[in-house]
Amino acid sequence: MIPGSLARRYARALLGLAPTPAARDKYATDLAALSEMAKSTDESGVTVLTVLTTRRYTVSDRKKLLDALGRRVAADPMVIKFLAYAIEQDRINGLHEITRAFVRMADDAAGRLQAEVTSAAPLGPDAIAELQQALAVATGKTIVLTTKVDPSLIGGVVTKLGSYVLDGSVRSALARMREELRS
Amino acid sequence: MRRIPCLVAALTTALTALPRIVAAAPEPGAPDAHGAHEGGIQWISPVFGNSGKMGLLWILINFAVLMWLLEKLLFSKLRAKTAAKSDAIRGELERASLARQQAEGIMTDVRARLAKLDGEVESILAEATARAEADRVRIVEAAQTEAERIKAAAIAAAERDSEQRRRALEAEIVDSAIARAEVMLRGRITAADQGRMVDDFIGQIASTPMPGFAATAGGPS
Repeated sequence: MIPGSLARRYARALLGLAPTPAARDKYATDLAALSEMAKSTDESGVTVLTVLTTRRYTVSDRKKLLDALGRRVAADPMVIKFLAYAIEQDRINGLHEITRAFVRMADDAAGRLQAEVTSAAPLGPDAIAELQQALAVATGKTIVLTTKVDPSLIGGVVTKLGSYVLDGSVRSALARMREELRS
Repeated sequence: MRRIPCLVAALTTALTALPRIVAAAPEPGAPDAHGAHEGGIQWISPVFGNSGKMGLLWILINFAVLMWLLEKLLFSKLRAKTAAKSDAIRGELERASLARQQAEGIMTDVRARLAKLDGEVESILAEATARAEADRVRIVEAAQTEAERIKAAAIAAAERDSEQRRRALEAEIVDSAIARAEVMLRGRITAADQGRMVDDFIGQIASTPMPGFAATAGGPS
């Protein structure tokens, strides 16, 4: 892991390398795919990111591994070069933080906002569309919505916009009621 | 001054002995009854004259010299020693007298104190009784104060304990009620209820302020 400020600095640098909005989105997609792939483990539980980070392997070997991963997800060569530079600077251990910062910056630049909606029961397409529309109107941004189902909510919906949480679940209502009755 | 009586005594003894010596002397020309003496008293004669007698004057002088020597060598020291002993005895007597006076004073004092002892005993008893009463009152008051403090602390502790138990009971009741409500809601919430809650949530989004996001017509900044 690396500090958030350093991750944002790297993400801002990569953002500046993107010539077009489409390239920026491609970089974000590639980084997200590589970050997800870096979480995978081998039989002994060692993650790919650990292999990319450890100095037991030479920089050239780690770059070869990065190239192989890039080819597998068809990553943009600029993203591979950027991550190779991070390996040289011994900052590849911050891949997840850099990816999160870059995706957030790319979304900001494109006027998008990631929203995670968790409901007690699966939402219908109409409800998702209405929710997406309502969030777009409330934030003034294009909402990229992902949905999850959590039966422990009992009922209602919880929406997470970055660090902002809108909680309309029955579980939270009961918890608030419990606190009010106890106080 | 003390030598004078001694000399006088010596001379008196010598002079008183003289008539007896004269009386005992035979008359001149009278036949010696015993045939042993001739002549009578010879006042002055050669020290050892032809008669073989010493003159009486020489004897007196001899006696006076003897007395003078005795006075110088013996009597004066004896007198000094005697005077010292006398002074010592007188001093002892004076000290004994003084000690006797002191003892009499102490005796008088002790008798006076003994006379006053009954009164002092009564006074001490009265004072001790008063002190004991004061101590008793003070101890009783302190015990009452301590008892009040302990009682207040016990009441406060009991109230705190009661309050804690009440809160714990309330919390338990609330938890049971909430758990019961949760179970009931899980069993009773239908898809229609879920849809209604989602609709309500969507309606609330427009009225919920979202700081950090760009301001739009449909929601706060």
